Amino acid sequence: MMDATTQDAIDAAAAWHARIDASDMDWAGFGDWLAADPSHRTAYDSVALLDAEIGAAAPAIAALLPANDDYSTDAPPVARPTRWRWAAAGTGGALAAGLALLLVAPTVTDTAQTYATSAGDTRAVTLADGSAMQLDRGSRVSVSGGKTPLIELADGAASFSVRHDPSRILIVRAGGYDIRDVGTRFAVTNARGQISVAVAEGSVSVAPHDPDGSVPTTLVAGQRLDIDPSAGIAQRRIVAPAAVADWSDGRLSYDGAPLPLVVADISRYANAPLVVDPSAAGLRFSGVLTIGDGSRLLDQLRAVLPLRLRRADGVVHLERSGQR
Amino acid sequence: MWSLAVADIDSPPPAGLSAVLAANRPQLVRFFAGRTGSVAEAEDVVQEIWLHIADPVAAPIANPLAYLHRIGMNIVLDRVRANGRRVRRDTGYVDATISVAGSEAVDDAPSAFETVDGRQRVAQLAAALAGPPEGAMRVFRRHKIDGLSHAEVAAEFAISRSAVEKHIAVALRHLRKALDD
Repeated sequence: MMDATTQDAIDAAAAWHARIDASDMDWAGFGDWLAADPSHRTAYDSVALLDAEIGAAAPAIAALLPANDDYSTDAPPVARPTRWRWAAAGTGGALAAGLALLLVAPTVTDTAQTYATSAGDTRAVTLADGSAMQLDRGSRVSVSGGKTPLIELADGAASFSVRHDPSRILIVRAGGYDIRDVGTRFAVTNARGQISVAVAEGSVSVAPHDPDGSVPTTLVAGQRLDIDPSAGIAQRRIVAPAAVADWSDGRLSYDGAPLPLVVADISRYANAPLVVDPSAAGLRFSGVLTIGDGSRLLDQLRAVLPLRLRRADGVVHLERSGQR
Repeated sequence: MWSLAVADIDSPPPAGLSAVLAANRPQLVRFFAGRTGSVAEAEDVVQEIWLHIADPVAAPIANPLAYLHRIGMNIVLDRVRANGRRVRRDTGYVDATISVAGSEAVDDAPSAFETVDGRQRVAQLAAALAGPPEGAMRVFRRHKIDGLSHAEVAAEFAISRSAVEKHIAVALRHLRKALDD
């Protein structure tokens, strides 16, 4: 089914494709070649798609290849994590979570009410005091306390829009820290052992739940605090108020954000732990990521940053690739 | 203890890429018109590049114009892939596989067919990668499977970068052919 002309086009497409990362790539010449004949475009599509397919399935392929090559270090023992299978697991999990939600929801008699979202869903909840809570994908909270709501964020992220009323305080508890609020708009994240608080309007105070004598940290609009409880480190940064809880629009936007911060955000949507290697920790990202079902976030990041992925023991390491 | 460690970090956003894009917009549209076969789609792609770099990128970039091209190439490939899925769906090939998570239909998810077939496909790819021509495939595997950059592969095999590119082109060509047969 493949005639000589097609094969010529494939050959040329492969040659162009192999040079895409070259510093002296002739983009104008490549463009001319593509435009010269529609068959060139088709040939290039087929080569680039195959290359991308191999890249996506690399860990699974590595596991199947004979061991006499020097793959040694990081080839996973089983051919498990192909991208499709991850996505498949994610979808199944989403459906299962949706089902669980139906079963859990009608427990009104209980003092604490639990809300959970699946991997593809956000959810809006109006609290008993009239405040609005929005849950991100794959999140779980329990709400108790009625007029002075206590919200425990077990996993994921939630944003809050709290009506001003000096007579009561809304408390969000996440990973051993209390965020107190008297009327503002803010978001809290608790994912993979990292806590993050970002304020869009007004101010909140943040302190460990068990008092340790330290002064609570006050965050005002346009600030974000990232806490690593295990290390006892917190970093305060500037954040665009409009970008607070931008996940509710299905996007994540950044302006010169350190890669570890971006990865902390997207790891909430990933099915495997993500680790930023020291080689890549200095990279910064600016731009907009589309969340979708979460499976494309790393690809979007890799499209703009010099990163390569290494999978080892079920963990995905992000390393800085050589020059591009 | 933790309050002592609160550090204030200002994000310094240097400029550059947006300016490069603005200055080279006609050239980019022309290139992507060739890549996609449609000026309208090329305009869309360049617009999408804008989104990806809406704010100045701080990572050091040696050749911003090449970088913008590569971002666009990734965007186009995503579109090609999405179209492929749509075509297969329209032909009823994977009709039963669109699951609904919340309000969104997840057509990014694999079809049942693809999942079942995935293992077989991976085996097929691995076999082709282990096949001839041996030298080209070894270079290709080091780059694509082990994640080494062209420069790193060149150093390891003590060959020039252009030789690496030639090996990779040869490998791609053979892989395409082996998997089409």
